[in-house]
Amino acid sequence: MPIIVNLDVMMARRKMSLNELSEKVNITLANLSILKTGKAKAVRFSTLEAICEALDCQPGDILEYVED
Amino acid sequence: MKNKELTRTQQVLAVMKFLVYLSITWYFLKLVGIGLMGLSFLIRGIPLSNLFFIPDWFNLLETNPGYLTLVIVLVMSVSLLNITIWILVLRLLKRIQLTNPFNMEVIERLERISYLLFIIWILSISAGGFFAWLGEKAGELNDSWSHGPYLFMAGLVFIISQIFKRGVELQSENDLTV
Repeated sequence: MPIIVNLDVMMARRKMSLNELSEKVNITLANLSILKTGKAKAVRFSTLEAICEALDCQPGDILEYVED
Repeated sequence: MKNKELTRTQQVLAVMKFLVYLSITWYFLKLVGIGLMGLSFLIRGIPLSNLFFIPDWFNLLETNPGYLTLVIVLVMSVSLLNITIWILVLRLLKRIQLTNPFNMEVIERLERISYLLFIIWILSISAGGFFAWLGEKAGELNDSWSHGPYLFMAGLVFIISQIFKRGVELQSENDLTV
């Protein structure tokens, strides 16, 4: 898929575990896992906003476009 | 409001299951009746008649025993196919979950039902034509063949299965939206 999710990179930089992020953004572990492993088909703006706020970053830090 | 709708749908499904059981019983009794007739014909050379669920085809025997055999086989085949369809419908009604109705199992069952309905339509048309021809030769046969509804139902069920397929795609997209 051309869109790559670099959530684990940002989480490592902020030294935050998946559990902590899940509690902060109020999203289930299962959904965060879907996002982290690149299986997600779409991301809501509200989710992106919550993650960027929790990780203190920009959407571009989490989402990257790579040509096929 | 949503809970009320869910309960009402469950009630409708329960009534449908009961009606399906009735249909299976009806076709099963018809199958047994025709089967007894065939068995009696095989053993004694004379078919049973004038009994409940056993049609009166005695005049066919006088015309040609082969015709009687073919008629018995045709009617039993259609009854058996009908029972199979109703059993598939019953399994579908038991399997369907109102919280998540869109899954591949439901689609496969719907497609199987539509194919079986199409086969019954073909069989019914052939049997209807054969009965009409026999009626001229051996006198009126007191069994009617309506084949029109089968093609309509086959088409309708197939369309519904394709709609469910799209439903599965939409459900999958929704499930994978974070």
